[in-house]
Amino acid sequence: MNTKPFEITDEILDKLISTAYGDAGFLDKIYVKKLIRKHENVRLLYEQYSAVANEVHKVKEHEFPYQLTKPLPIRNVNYKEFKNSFWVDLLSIIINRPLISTVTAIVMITAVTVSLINIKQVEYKYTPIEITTADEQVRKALGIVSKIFNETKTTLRNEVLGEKVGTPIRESIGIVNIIFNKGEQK
Amino acid sequence: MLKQKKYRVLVQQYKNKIYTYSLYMLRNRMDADDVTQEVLIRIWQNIDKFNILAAKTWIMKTTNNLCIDYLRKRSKKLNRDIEIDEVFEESHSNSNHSDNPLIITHNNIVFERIKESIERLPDNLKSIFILYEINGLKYKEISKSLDMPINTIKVYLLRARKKLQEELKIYEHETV
Repeated sequence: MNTKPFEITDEILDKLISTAYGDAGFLDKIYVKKLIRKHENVRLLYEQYSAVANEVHKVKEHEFPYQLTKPLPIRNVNYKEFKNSFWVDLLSIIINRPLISTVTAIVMITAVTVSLINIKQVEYKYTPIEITTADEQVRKALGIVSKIFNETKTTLRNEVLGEKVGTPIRESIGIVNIIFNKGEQK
Repeated sequence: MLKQKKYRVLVQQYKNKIYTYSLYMLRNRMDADDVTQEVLIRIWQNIDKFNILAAKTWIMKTTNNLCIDYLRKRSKKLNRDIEIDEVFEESHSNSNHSDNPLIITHNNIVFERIKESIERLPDNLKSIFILYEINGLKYKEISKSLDMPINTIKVYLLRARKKLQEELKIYEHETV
């Protein structure tokens, strides 16, 4: 580092201050950082401004006292609602950052529109051979299903209804008849 | 109903900026209260006349004009009873929270010096400094709010920063 004092012109001082406060241009920042590395007096001055800038950036806005709204002659406005409202916050963002909000809205609308158009554009195109093959496959599948239904029907009619259902019913009716006959005889 | 919603949004958005600006410019809580109330009433009265997207500059311009009126009125009067000193206490953001009383005291002293130095700035520099550094307005917005060219704003801001630095040096010398 060069300890020989560097002559700080007004222009350099302006750049140095802007850099310390964090709002200098990119090239100015590089230039100032370069000077800081080279010259002790520039570094000291930068540090002084930087320290003040840090303190200044810590100063916050004052909280608005709500009691100020009490004597206001404005009807139907609930000032307590000013706190914690999603819509108010959303609108505040839109007001504060109109460009970003507009761009975001345009991007979202475009994305939704494009996706809707893409969904509509999905069309299936098949060759006649594919259609014929699919038709055959469907017929075969339906044939299998039909066969199973027929087999089930036959089994139900011949085995289940005849043996498992018909026989016990017949037997129970026979028992009932026997009981009735015995009753008549008595 | 729409008018009320618009009003709510605007007040929610700018209430702290109006109050802070008034407080720093007028250096008196009661006057700042009056100006803030007056601005809120004017927003309600003119809400249909301005574009909501350009509201920030309109509101800050109105606040600035009212502050100037108050300062003019005050210059005619002598010896105000209530001054600002107690007003700024809560506005310091202690980013480096510490339990160490020495550090806390040091931070408070530094903040007090900064506050005093901002107070000592000339009104034309102070208004730009507050709008830019504390209220966070951009050059363009300040330019519209104060009816000044952007280059003038930049020059005044630099002058304010230099002046603040000088004021702090004076403080250091006085302390030593």
